[in-house]
Amino acid sequence: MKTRMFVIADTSSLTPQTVINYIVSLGKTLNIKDTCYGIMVEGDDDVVENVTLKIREKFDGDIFSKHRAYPIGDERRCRATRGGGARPGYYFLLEEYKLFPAISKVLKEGRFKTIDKKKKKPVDIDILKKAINEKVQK
Amino acid sequence: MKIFIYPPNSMILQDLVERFGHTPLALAKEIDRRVNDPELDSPPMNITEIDVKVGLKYAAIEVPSGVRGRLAMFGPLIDEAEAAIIVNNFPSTFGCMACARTNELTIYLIKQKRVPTLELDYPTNEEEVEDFIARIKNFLEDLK
Repeated sequence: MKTRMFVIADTSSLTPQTVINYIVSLGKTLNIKDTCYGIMVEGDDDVVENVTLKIREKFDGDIFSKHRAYPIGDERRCRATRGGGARPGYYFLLEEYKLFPAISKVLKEGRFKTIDKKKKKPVDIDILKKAINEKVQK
Repeated sequence: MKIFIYPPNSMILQDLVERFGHTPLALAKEIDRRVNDPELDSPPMNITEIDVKVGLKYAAIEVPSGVRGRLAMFGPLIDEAEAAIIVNNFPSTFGCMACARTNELTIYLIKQKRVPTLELDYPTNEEEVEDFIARIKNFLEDLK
């Protein structure tokens, strides 16, 4: 049994329902839950992996996925039984969620270009000596 | 190839590693094994005293038990790693995920392993995101 979470990028017009309809059309035995950020899918390992590949093929950069350790609706994680509040791990997801639109755009446009970053050089020792001497002499 | 990612629960890294055809070694794998175990010793994470002993393989006895407990989860992933991607200045490693000593020890252990490692900074704008993805893509393609 494996659970995967799928998060839809902010800028995408894709809705969790569209993804669910697509998964249902694949005709696999899966447990699906829609959430505010996307969906969660649970099922046999190979079925879940297979569905993940197909979702990636179909929706490309609009959707991001990762393995989730806890099963869907697990009482140790589910807000309904924990009296509300953000679930552990939410803040991490929130932070990464901000970057998804940019990643989605780059993946969809296929722009893979590295930038040569200039390393910050330390201050030249002569300049430093000169500055110290000026200060000391004053 | 099995790629260790740091931070080990990052969705961005996990997704990109899978997209470019490799297997990410993410934290969920270790937690999954514990939380879905029929024996529930110490919910929610099911970390037991055995884990703290396992952590001794990765950190000295003087190291706090919390760090050893965390390393008992990260350690087996590092052992399996054939390559690694480290992202520095990840905003969420400052805060509750951030046991700073565990993070330092994790990076140290990866470097000690001497596997091919890509070290990057967390991107903050679109230009950096492009560079970030391109570097990960090139690194992963070169590994094949």
